[in-house]
Amino acid sequence: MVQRLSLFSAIDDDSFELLISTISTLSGRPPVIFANFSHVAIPDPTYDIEKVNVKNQLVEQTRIRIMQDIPFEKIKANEYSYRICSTLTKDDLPIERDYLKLLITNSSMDSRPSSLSIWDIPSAGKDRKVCMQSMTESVISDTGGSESSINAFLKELGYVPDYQFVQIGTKFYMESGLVFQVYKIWNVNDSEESTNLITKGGFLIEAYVNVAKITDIEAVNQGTKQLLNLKRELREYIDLVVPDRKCMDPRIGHLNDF
Amino acid sequence: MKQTAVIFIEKATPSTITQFHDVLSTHVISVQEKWSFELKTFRSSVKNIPSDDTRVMYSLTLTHRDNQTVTIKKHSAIVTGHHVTEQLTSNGCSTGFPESFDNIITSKLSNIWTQRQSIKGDFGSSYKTSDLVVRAANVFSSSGFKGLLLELEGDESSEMDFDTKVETIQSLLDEISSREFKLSKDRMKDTEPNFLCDLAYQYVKVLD
Repeated sequence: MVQRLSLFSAIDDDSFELLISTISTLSGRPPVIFANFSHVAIPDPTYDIEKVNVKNQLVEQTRIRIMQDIPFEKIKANEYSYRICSTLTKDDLPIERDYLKLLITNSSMDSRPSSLSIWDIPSAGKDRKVCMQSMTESVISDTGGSESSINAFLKELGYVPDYQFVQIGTKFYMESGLVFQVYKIWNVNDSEESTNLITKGGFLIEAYVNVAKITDIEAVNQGTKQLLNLKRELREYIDLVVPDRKCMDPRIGHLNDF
Repeated sequence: MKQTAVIFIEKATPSTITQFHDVLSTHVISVQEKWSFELKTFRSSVKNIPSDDTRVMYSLTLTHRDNQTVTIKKHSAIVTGHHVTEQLTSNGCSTGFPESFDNIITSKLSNIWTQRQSIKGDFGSSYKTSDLVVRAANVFSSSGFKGLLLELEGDESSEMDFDTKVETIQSLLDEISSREFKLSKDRMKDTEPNFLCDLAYQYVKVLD
């Protein structure tokens, strides 16, 4: 189980350039552009799934997230630098729809590795200084069989597609594993063949540290300290906060609880 | 593409592996690394599953194939491993600390999947002959000894037909009077060979 410690914030489109130069100066690291595709699946709602397993332990139904990087050659742009992030302000993605569609439905012949992860709801507690969310992950390197695709396998596993999204943005690898990323999110609507920009007019900011083992208290404390340091350095410029944990709840059927 | 076959001799005794080693020894060029496998069977605990659907899923982990795990359900399979590519971690898609997929099934997906059985072959031997890599291991389940398993892997450089090579092994088994066995050379999809998925499929076929 990996523990992710994070803090979030947001800025508007016009502040992007300044933020990038600020963080570059602060960290001494160059900005790196990135693009990811995420496919989120839920347990088949028609299935009658028990809340407990055979050992009578409570097991919540949770979403499965499949994630894959999008290579730059698939992004239509004149230059590949962080600057393209500020030009992407529309609903249309500069990526071919067919490519995204094929990512989880194509057969193994030309597939690239993807990660499969299951997340928990972030830890509760009023005085949390950072958001703490644990996750388990596996890396899918290939698919096979006569129905060879990640999607086909998830269906056999008892999961059906829920939603998909693309993240494009800029990130900084700061000291000791701290990652600072600024990105936009597009919802990819498969049935209507459309994409829409969810983060219109602005960017989401996420600063995080991954800790390999949930039990490694020292590393957790160290990561928390790093995030709080960053928060302090950026004080009165951007306010890095702990988001409401309910917004990050990957479990199914808990919307009515709140 | 390398070809594989898996043979399971149920009517073996724990010492059949030594007999097999003896008859094979004249063909052996070198003795290679020890290997292990584990085949886990999972059963769906969903009550209203469509009647045409299978309830069983298998996951096979092979130490000699980079510890990769193949999970097979019906006509679909995925290969999961411990290697994380640079692309995935640098893009933030992976944290760089992956677990094997059967672990995730037994923990996070145990409301849908229940582990039924675990069949293991630990510390088996591998022999390289002039045209095959032969791996042999005694198979155990929780109830005890199950039989002898052989994994045959064709060598691409050898020109001899893979079926003939398998037959030579079969005749060796004849010599030690193990005539009854299950053999699988099947592929999950005939037109599209996939080394690891096909191999796992053969394990499932003979051990199930």
